[in-house]
Amino acid sequence: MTSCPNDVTVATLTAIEGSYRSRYHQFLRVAEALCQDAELARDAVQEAFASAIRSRFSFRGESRLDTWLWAAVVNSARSQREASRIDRDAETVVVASADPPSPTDHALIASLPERQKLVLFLRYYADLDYRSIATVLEISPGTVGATLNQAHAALRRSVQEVP
Amino acid sequence: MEIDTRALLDAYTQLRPEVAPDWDDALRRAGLRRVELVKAPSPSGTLRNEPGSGQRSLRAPAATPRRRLRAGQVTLVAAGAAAVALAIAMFASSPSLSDAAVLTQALSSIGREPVVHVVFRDDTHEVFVDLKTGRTRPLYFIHEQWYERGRWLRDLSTINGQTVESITRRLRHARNEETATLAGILDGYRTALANGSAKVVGRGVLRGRSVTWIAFSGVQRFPHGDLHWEQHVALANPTLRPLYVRQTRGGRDVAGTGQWITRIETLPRRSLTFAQSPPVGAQVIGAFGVRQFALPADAKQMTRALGAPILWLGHTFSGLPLRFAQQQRLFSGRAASRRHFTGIELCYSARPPRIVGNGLLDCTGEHTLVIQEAREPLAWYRWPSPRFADLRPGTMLIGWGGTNGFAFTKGLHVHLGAAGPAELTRAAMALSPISTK
Repeated sequence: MTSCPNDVTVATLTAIEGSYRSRYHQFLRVAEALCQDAELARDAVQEAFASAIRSRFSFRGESRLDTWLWAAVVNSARSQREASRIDRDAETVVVASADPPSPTDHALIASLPERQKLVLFLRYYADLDYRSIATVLEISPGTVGATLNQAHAALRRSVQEVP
Repeated sequence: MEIDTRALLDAYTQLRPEVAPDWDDALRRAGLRRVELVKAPSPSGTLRNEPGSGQRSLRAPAATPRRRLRAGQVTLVAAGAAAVALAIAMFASSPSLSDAAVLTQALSSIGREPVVHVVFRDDTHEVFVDLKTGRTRPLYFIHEQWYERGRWLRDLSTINGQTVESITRRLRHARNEETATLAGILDGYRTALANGSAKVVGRGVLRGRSVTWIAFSGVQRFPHGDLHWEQHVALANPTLRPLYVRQTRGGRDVAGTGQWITRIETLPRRSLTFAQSPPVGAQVIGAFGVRQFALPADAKQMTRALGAPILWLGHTFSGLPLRFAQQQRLFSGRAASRRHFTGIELCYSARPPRIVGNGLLDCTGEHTLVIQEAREPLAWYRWPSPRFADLRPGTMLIGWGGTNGFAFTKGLHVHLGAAGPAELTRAAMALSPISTK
């Protein structure tokens, strides 16, 4: 995995755009993990960046720009999912794919609680450190570590149970 | 047993290479295009919104945003045409320096020391509104940078004189996010002047000042392809010091990239002590627990909960009925230093509310006006704390996009959310304490 740390502390439009273009598919996949719908995920990422653009002068460097943007994407994806749940009234969403994933592998991650799922995605896709994940999810860095351990343990158990 | 977590995550979501990033769409959703139609200068034109022109009244009923935009466009076209004509005349007739001499003088005007120091001024598109008169004044964001190639970058940001942040860090290698920023006026400008790759592209008038426009280009590499850009810099005549910078791509302005340069110079390495800033702890905020009220029957309870008479707009405002009033218990900070607060939210909306989780009722969407009040400036209610000190009673700050207003009135910090500046101003002017009798 390519390490892509980001210490940018000023939310200029150029810096926000740079992050958007550099990590667009990472943002998209984490949003999709939350929304379970490709269109919703795309919308969530666009809305997250629109929101970041609007509030860029409010960014105060309390976290790294990258962390701030990840928080925006996660919050936006959660909002999109909530809105979708209400609008669709629990309609089942089927993710279309030309090359559908292995149902077993898909189910392994799907079975995890949302926080564990998110921590995994932010660690492996966003490449965020514990402190940044803690900021995005508004939990303590210690909880991030514990949650990651729980997620790995749950995945190991599940893999062993698969015949 | 070892598991490949990354492979499992890959199987859970699909890589969709066919979905390309669409930055223009993000800008449109942010409303930036609309603003830039009015704000952007043309290379040879006079910038609109001269200082003082921001002193317009939001009370004026003219004035749906659409109408203002059309009027602005018409004016812009007329002004642009006149300015272009003026620029052509000036370019054709004025005895000027050769292009090479312009570049040489521009370079010598900032010096050749290793540390570049630039002070930018951004129009935040946010305004303060006087709630008695409706008059507005703009809010500016000042961004100061000291940059030494490959070594240090120091940022200092202030809003109306208040320091928003001051951060210094080592530059081990430039990252994608900052490459374009550094390649622009901080570093690329000087390089382009020195190696002759900058070009004189026009002469004209900008905010009443005679300027010479130069341009230099660069490229930034992204997973989805290269991004070719051009920086256009307006140099004030006759000093040829940069006055304004903006970016174009494919010959078109890039929304939101325009910045005024109020100062630029180079400094000797030892003139400044760079010291890396300590990391700043993130602010953690959240809400838990809500309690619904009936109004006006529960006015006393709400007043007791808040510790001050709540402010409201009656049972109906601008045709929108009061849909709900809820008390929210809020917190900020991590466990050891956590502080708790009480907030009250009133929702005026054309549609019934919906529950979005934890019992919270949603008050967003079209034809909706939300009032959130607390005795403290709460980040949960979007209070931009660095700007708070400048928010005097009787004044409202209208945030970027024009749909959020912040006022300190009758001892309460009030956040208003509405469709636009005019609605926000009308609501803020009409707020009054609820009767508890």
